[in-house]
Amino acid sequence: MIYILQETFKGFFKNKSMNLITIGTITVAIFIFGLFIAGTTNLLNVIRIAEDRIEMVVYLKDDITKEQIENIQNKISTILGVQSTQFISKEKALEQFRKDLKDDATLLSAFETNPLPPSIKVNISMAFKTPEYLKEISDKIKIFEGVDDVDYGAEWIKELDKLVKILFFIDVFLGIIIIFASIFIVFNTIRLTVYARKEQIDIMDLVGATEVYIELPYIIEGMVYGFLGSLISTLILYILFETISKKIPNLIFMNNNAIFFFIFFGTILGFIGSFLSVKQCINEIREMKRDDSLKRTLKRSL
Amino acid sequence: MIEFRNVSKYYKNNWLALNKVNLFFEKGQFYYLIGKSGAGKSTILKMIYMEIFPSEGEVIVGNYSSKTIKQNEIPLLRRKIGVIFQDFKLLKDRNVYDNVAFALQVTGERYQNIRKKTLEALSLVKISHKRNSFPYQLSGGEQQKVAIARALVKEPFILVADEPTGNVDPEGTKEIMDILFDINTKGTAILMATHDYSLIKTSIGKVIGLREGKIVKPEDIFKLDFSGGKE
Repeated sequence: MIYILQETFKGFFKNKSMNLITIGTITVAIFIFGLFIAGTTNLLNVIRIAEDRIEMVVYLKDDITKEQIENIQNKISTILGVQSTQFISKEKALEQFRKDLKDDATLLSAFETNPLPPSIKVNISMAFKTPEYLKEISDKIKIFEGVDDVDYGAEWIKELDKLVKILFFIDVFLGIIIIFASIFIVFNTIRLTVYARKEQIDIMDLVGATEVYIELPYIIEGMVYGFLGSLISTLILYILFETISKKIPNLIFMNNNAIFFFIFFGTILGFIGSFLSVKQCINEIREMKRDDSLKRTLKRSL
Repeated sequence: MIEFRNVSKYYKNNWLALNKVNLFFEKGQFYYLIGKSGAGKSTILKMIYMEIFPSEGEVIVGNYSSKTIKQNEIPLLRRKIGVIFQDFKLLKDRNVYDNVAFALQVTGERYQNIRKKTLEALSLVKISHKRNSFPYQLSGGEQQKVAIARALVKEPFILVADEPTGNVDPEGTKEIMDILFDINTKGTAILMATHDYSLIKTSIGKVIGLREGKIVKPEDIFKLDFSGGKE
């Protein structure tokens, strides 16, 4: 074990500039990814607040009777996704409207009668606040007798939904690019390290070192790259958010779990890159050695 | 201990390197494998430490057979076989001590044993005084001594030597040979491949002749030409 750690350490300091480039690249890659994730998280948060305010209003016909209202309210309550309902009479609606208008309330005196229809406010559970469910619920309500119209801001909900989907798509797309880029750079760096120590591997094979001893130093080296890269990028992200949040309140930074995940994610990328690289390179080296000695033997025999 | 049963080896282009070879190596003996370049000497040695496998037949080394050995058992087999080469194969960035200790470090030897075993191996080949030197500061003979120490430090039952004196001056050659005999008298079998006929004339040991991948009868061995190529 001491040997493995010593070797990792040696490999790490032997080729400083290459290592710095590797860590730097991973840092930048994960930083960009983190920036998008954080951006998405914050936008999603804003959207969630907006969605929270989504409500459905069922406008009723003017000549509706009290029994009909009760009947409709009961029927609405049984629909899946409906949390509660609240009847708003013509008078209450007018009063509310007056409050909303404040100083301009005098405008209302121009009307001889109350122009506002009676309505039922429908609270929808969070999980059902998608365009599809909202439409389904509103379609069900529309066919009830005495219902004039149902309003739930169909258009802007669709827009919000589209935005969330686009953001999610960008995150996934970016994530995939970052994953491949990080794995690729670790792969290449470890490849150089392994090839630089070709002779050492050859001797290890000869004296009976197991795969663990041969491969582990390089794999750990790759994990260290990933770990450091993600650690540094998380730190930079944190400092950045601290600075920005002084100007924009209510900004959310990653929570502890997300930070842990981020660093773990980077380390895993380092592991995958170095693991693939080591497996491939060591096989190549062994193959080359066999070909080499074969060529020499053939040459001698001719 | 080591047995070759009807072993043949084809390389690419159907070139036959070994042709139905039967051999038996006993414990603690000294063997020479002689033949000109390309006769199949290295192929035999590599089959012992299972770097290459027979195309036909079977090689048995201790408890392992070339037919049944698993990939992860090969390192365990190699810990029991010391190997040295014409080109020494030392690590240039490590001194003599570290080169020898390396063989123990990478095979999981306990940390507290490494120093003792390494120093013992170095004194066995009489190179202790140069333990802090780097390979480039040593002569060919001295480098080969370090390689022998590295091979011995794991206490193998056989030392396989592929042209060990090929890059060593005559004086060094004598020293190397003396060390090999010394090791042999302490119980380690030696299998030495060489095309240097003069080495055999001056020493004891069983001689195996190889010509074009075939074992040659003992009485025919001396009919081989060792002058370096032409037959």
